[in-house]
Amino acid sequence: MNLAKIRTYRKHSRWADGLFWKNPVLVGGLALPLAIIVSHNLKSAVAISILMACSLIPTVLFALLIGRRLPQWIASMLYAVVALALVLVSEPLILPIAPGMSDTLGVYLPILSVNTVLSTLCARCASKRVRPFLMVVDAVVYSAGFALAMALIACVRELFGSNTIWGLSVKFPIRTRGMQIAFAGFILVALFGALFRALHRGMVALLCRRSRPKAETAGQPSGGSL
Amino acid sequence: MNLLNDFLLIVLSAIVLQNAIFTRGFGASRGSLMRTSSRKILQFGCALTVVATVAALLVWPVQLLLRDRLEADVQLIARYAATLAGICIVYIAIWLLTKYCFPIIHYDIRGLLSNAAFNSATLGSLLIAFSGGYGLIQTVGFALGSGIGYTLAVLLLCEGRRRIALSDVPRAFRGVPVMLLYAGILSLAIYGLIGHQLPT
Amino acid sequence: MKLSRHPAPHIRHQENNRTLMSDVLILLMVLMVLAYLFYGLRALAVCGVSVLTAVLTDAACTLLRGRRLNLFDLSPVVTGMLIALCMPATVSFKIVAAAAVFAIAIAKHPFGGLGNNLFNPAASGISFAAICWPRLVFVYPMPFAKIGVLGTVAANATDYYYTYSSVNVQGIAQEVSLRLYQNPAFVLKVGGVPTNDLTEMLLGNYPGPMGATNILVLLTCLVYLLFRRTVRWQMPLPFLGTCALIAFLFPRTGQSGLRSVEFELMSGLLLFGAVFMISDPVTSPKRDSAYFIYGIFAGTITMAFRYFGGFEESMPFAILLANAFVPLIDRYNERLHRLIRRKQLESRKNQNLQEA
Repeated sequence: MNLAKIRTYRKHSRWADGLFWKNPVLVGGLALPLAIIVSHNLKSAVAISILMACSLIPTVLFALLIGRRLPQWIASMLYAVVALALVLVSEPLILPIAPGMSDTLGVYLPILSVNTVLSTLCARCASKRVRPFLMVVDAVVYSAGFALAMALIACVRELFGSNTIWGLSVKFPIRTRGMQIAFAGFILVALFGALFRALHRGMVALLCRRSRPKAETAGQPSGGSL
Repeated sequence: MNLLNDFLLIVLSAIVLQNAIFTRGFGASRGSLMRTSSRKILQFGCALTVVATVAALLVWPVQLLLRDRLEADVQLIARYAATLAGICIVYIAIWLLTKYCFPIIHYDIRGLLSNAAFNSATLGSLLIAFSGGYGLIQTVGFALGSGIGYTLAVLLLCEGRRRIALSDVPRAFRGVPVMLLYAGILSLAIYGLIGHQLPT
Repeated sequence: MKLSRHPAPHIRHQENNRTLMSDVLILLMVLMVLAYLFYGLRALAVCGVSVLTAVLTDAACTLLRGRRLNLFDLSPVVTGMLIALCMPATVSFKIVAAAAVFAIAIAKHPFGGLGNNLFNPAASGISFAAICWPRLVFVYPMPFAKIGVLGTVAANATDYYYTYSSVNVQGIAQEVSLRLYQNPAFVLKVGGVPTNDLTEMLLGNYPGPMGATNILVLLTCLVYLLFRRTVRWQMPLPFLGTCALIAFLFPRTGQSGLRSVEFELMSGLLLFGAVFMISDPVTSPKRDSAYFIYGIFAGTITMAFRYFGGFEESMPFAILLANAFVPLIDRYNERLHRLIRRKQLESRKNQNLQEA
């Protein structure tokens, strides 16, 4: 197999990894409470994604600033506090989407401050080997990946659940309230995660086959190793 | 007797009907789905339960005070801040207490205490209890029940993981997705208990 | 002497997947014929849609996983039949198809397909349908009522009943509630005392799931399966015993204990589940002693779901929850057996030492 090819692929794909093949929600399994519950319609999914971006990126900057200076156990507490402050400050941003949006999100709004995407990224900042610029890139890409995953799941759930998308009614033969319950969230996250992994595996296999037409594509590093 | 009855009822309902993972999604993450050792799970669950219960005791009077004094729109923000502050205080207290008095416990929990304290299961269950307007006993019972329910759920998931590891799972589903499916079907079963009045 | 050159498991027993499944399938066919007698061609149509969807989904999933198709695998047929027989005859085809797809594509193949599935596919399919369309799945037609073969039939009427009961579409609402109150499971859930006649219940002449009302036939099925050794007696009998005991000790709504046992065991899907779903060889534990524990556990959970649950028909949910505990039961049971074995060995060793 062509390792050099894979290496270049890896190098270039690093910028979009968080969006697709290392999507924090679907492949990484982070921030699941939000992905499972809040994704019941598109509007709240978009609102929570905006808040996520608003709280994640500044918190990572903050973590880069203080992460190495303070002991880990104090730092992890400060991240939660800072994130909560950021969420509460940027709350007016989501009000244009729908007037009662922050009530709709309810408890899941403050939950943003303790989500696992934030805590893993911030914990990574403490190590001396990370490059600050790449951490910020990761934060941006992870927020985008979170938004993408939420939008995908929310579209499916809203379409099946109430036959609407973004509040506009769509003609669709199946309608069930059941899709708006938690279990549908669990199952959809799992299905989309499996789909993303399968796509990634297929792509890597294709890449190798193109470089050497008759080579076997077994043993590729893939999403399965995650 | 009545109080005890109330307390037990709310603990049970928090364990089963309002289970942190299966009905609210709190605390579901790669970490809790993929844990392998039951000992670690028990330690984590204990830490989480203790933090949630003590924080419930601590924050409940404060949020009652806030509810009486403040306007509706400021009240929510104040409640969020107060809850997180309460959790922080409990976290610091437990950290320092174990560090200087019980070093053996400290050695066990120092890695997971921050994850247990700043977890959506802790913060979420407290906030749900406060927004439901529960009394002190009920709030503490709810926090305790959520912690226990979370621990039991993760233990069950861990048991399922051991069984799934033996079976021939399709490649794309290995790891997190199949565990999510497992949790999803369990959540379906628990929603059967809730029945016609489904919250949508 | 005949030498076998196959690798390790040398199975000489006649029993295999096909014989097990065909045993069950024969009984399900009998139930289907009964459903045909009660509800006409509609029953056959529902079964056909369910089986067809299940088989097609199974084939698609097998191909997607890159396996070879096994045309003689009867398990999706059994799953499809089970799902269809637990539904009312008036259920719309969409719902049955959705349940079958969920059973095969979500609960069976992602966990590794036949032999590896942790949850009973049929039970999960039925639970999915029940959660998503409770208004359509739990309202049953009268036996011998005229039902059109195709299209959505009386389902519409039930929808009217739930949506407009405040507006009072008198005739339909009364008719539906009349039917609801003849179903003992619903009456028990609401807190009343069922008025059904005993012989009528034994013969299945009351509104209920298509294949699960005829108690006599179901009991015959159980005896047949036990006799054929497709199902070990250690599973369904403790299950039924536990249910009966709980019903006897804690009767719902002031009946005498025996009456309560009678109605609890005969109403709803309980007996059907005990015969066909609890005893599924894939999702049950490994040893006979574990069967026993599993039966008792499943019975307790089922009765708890009946007493405290929100739906009148909670058997599939209880089965799912019980299935989740099977690995746990298996592990501790194995540990117990090892402990006993070790104790026996030690005592034997001590005896040998003393003799020597």
